[in-house]
Amino acid sequence: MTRFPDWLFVLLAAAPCAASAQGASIAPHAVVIDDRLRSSTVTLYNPGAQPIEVTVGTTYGYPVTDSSGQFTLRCLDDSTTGSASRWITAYPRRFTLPPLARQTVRLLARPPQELTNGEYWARLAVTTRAASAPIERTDSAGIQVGLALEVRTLLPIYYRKGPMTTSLSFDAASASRLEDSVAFRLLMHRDGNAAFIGQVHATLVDSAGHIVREGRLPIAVYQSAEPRLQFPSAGLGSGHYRLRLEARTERPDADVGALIQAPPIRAEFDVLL
Amino acid sequence: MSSLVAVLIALAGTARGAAQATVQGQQGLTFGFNIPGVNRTIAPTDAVNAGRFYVGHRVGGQVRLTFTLPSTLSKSNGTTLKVTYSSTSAAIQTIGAGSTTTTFNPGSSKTYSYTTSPDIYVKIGGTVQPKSNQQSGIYTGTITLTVAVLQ
Amino acid sequence: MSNFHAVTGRRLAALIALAIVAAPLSAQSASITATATVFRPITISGARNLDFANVFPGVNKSVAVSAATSGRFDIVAEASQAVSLTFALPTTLASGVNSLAIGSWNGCWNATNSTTGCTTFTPSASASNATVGGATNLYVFVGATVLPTAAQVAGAYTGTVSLTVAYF
Repeated sequence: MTRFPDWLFVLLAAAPCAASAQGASIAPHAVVIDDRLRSSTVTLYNPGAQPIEVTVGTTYGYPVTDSSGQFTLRCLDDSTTGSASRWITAYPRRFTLPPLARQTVRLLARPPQELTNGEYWARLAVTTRAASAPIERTDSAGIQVGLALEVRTLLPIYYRKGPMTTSLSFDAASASRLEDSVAFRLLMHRDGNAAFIGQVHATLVDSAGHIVREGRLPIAVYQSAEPRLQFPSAGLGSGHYRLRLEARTERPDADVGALIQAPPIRAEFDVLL
Repeated sequence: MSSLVAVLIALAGTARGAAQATVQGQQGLTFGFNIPGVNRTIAPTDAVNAGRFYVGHRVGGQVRLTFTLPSTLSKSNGTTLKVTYSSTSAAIQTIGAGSTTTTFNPGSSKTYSYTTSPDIYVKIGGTVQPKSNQQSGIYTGTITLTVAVLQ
Repeated sequence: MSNFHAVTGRRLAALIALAIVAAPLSAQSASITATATVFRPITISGARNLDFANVFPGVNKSVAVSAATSGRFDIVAEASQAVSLTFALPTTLASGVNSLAIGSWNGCWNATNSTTGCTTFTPSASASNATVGGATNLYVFVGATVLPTAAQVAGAYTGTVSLTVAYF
């Protein structure tokens, strides 16, 4: 076993750790590629004081909800029907971005000739990490441990060919009481040929017609989803309530051009709490 | 006297006809995707993003180029985005063999003499300065180039 | 009179000639459009490396999420935006051919740069959903425990914590 002199502890404690913020700002949040243009761009910017290494690629996947109603990304093989990732390429794919520098990444699509009308999906994967090591070795006898941080951002790519439509159906809503909240699961499926990106405005109305809870839930329904909506239960007595839902293709964060517009969809369900 | 005046007017008329310049706006100035708080400069030599006009005239002729530049770009809801120009934000590029490029300040009129080629591009760049809380959206503005034939 | 006419005629001719040379004979204009698109970006940064500093053979060492040396990722996006967080975590750290085991991971996220009142989760390859706060910031803290053996060879052990953020 290695023995350490006391003075070494002091030296190690004072050893600098290379730990400066590293990451990239990426815009836009969602990439739309029109079949007539077959290209688009994404801008990366390094707001930090250190250079970062960037790797850009595409993968296939789309949001689904898991058993608890949380949105998660289902990653699938590139060859899956509906995938655009195998014929969309990013340039450049690997580069170092100096501090306060920006880089435009071009996305070029080479779809198969027989591609039918519709929306095809991919995910832009941008991986960034510091160009420097997580720790600096200051001695040869001690044990130093450090972990570098790497971030990978997955943003949607929509490749659109022909007319796009989207809509949504609310199929069911179920309610359950949790410790300090009430949870609703909203079963919905998408209609049309494009993903329904937007938000649900939900209001809970008591038997007297008063709105007792209200909230918004961002949704991304590519095929079907059963997201969970949760309200605090304090003051909500047992009984019958009405859950009113309105889905709109609006999101405060989204570029309007990225959203296929649809008329508002409304539904109401009786729920027993 | 009246015949002399008539001749001069006729000559002047002929000179005006021969002195016509052709001006075409060929390519818009594109600042692309921008991030709040981060300025972006497009050089007039940027072939993809710089604005471009074609100005044709005769060799030996002279024109005065005057830009009308927006100080802000606007969104449909009226929100504005600041845009500035430097002393080298505009450029004249001759077209043809031995093409040359000369930058100039688009804030002032520029006189150009056609010496080798009857065709030039007048290009325009600039800098957009999105505020850190700049609203997302598409901002547009109009850049006008006025070409006055001087001889 | 004829002289007067001659002089007047010459002056007139000179004036007209001068007008031809000095004044613009014609002015034409054309316009183009200047366009800029502004997007609020999503920014994800590895803000602080997870640093165990010096460890000792045979003595496990933990870095809590609340520690000043815990790892921290910063996410800046639109307010109320839902994102999913998944981690790729090393099971060992390496120093050349030598390795050092990692026993466990812990994490929490918060809308402020503080672990007080943060939402805890266990970093893993399974997605954890988080919501970017009203201030458009999300801070993700990561801690872990390393398990050096009694015979752990001296060296600088490093690895990479990878956070994948999927934007919906």
